[in-house]
Amino acid sequence: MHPTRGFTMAEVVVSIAILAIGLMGVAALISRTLVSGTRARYLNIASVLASEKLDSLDKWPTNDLNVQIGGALAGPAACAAGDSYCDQVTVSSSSGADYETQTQVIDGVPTTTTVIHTSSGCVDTPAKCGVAGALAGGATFTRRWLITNAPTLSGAGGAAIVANGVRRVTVLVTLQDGTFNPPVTFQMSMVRP
Amino acid sequence: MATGNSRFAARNAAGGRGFSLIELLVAMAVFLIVAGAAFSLFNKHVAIATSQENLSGVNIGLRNAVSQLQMDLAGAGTNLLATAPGAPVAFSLGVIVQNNVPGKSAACTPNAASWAYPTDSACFDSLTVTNPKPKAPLLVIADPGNREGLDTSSIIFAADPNGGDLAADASFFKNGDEILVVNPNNTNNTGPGGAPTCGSVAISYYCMTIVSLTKDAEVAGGKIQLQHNPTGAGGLAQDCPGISCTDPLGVIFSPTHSGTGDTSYTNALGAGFQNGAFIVDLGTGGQSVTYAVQADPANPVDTQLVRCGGAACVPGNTQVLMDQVVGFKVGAGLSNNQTSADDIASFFYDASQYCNGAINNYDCNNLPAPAANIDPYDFTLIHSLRISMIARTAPNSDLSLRDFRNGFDGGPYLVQQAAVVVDLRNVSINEFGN
Repeated sequence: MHPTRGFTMAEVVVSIAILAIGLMGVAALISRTLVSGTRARYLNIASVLASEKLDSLDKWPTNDLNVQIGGALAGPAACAAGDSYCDQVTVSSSSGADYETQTQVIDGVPTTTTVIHTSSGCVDTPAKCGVAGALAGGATFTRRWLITNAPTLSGAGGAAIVANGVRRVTVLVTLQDGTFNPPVTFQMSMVRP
Repeated sequence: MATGNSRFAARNAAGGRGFSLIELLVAMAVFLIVAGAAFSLFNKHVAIATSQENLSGVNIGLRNAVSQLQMDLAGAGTNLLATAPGAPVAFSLGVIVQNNVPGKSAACTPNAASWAYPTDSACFDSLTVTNPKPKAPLLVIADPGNREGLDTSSIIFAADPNGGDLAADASFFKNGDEILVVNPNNTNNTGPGGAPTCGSVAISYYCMTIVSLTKDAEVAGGKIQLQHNPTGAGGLAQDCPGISCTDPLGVIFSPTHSGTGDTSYTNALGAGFQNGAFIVDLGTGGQSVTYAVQADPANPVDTQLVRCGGAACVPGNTQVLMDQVVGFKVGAGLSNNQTSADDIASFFYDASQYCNGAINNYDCNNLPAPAANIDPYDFTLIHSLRISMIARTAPNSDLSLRDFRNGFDGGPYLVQQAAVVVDLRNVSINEFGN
């Protein structure tokens, strides 16, 4: 008759290790869900910001300085002095309001404007709504746009067509948060005269 | 050993034995603890996933609503004056905005228990994309005295600048229709005392006005006669409740401004409109599209953004665009304030501040003298709109958020904002001379 015995240390360690691996899988799943949910949310904001920028670039007549050929989609994370085809938007929520802060480089000088929408229905600058000013934090998006002349479009059967007389405007919106890999970006184009 | 139990016997012979009850209980207890930990982790995961899913729903809803708004607003004013002689014309009317302004309308505060938002409050604006009556001709004022004439006259004499058959033209203008009268040049000329004016003559303070017809149009003496509601003396406005007029478009008198001392100047047909001013039949608003926020009849906590086929939202013409909207504000970028047109702080969220005189960041309360020559509620000045929408996940739908309070209004739900600037193509392109 074999004597009754407990588990050996090795058995216990192995089983705990297996369990830990399993639980780590679950934890990783949760953290992934969180990240991808947040990512989806930022992507959505980025898509709204991109279509808004395209809309605002569509209104200028052909000879306006705002829509001349130029710009670039690549560049530093934040708009730098001299980046004329670049602006930044920060969205955050606190102190009873949603904040939208825009920074545009105008003549080499960054100009920042904040507009809030309070839960009491006031939409204006924080001072006029009587709420604290722009807050630190929130998600900041950089928008860069590129305007090219006579773009090559893909026609029937994949044939390349040079669209003379029109310009293509491409907007790239990037979240300034390096923790996302790959980074949160959204790109959108339109063709206009 | 009984041969009938040989397998059991064989295992015993090999030295194995079964678990004792104690061992089994201990093993099950350990397993329960471990499984409990795993399940509680999983349970947390479910809660997070649910709230992420709800927030995704809010985002998709916002995106859809914004897309629909962009489509309707970008085309606002289409064909409004397509038949105008010498087109393109330097004005248009695409959108009418009703702003509920904090301090002038019911306070925008959610119910502290149900978190329902009051719909008739400063939380929510509404807007109407106007469209003219289908196929109705464009007319111009053709008064024998080169003036719409007497301020208190209730008849406009009109002609067809395109030479159409007058009787056929007149058949479109029906009792109850609202007609839009617009001065042809919205150029901000200087009037008496240096005050800005709208038309090409100094006396024209008003760029546009709207009156309602009180009789079907008639042809007499080679002119179309349009009989309308009385307007105020001296070319000033007269609110609808004081006179007999119908206002299906809600622009002659806005109930929002009742009792606030504000007067809508859109019923100000008077000396300012001379021969050649355009007349557009807006009908009774049936061709319009209106955006507003209403409570779901089945669930008052759910305030819904609706899109209605008409100037007013009634059952049958109302589509729900989005649930759980807790903020819908409409700001206007004005064409006479365009130096800062891209500045998000330069939009007016109060239609009583849409002033013809509001040049260089003056609003209607801050005009160069003489301040009496103002023209508020001038919707022809709108060249772009900034729509700021805030939506939330349904209150109390997500148990993981029971103890959560958001930074926006302190409610137990997640909140998401989407603000979008839309340019009214037909208006803004004219404005920049393109």
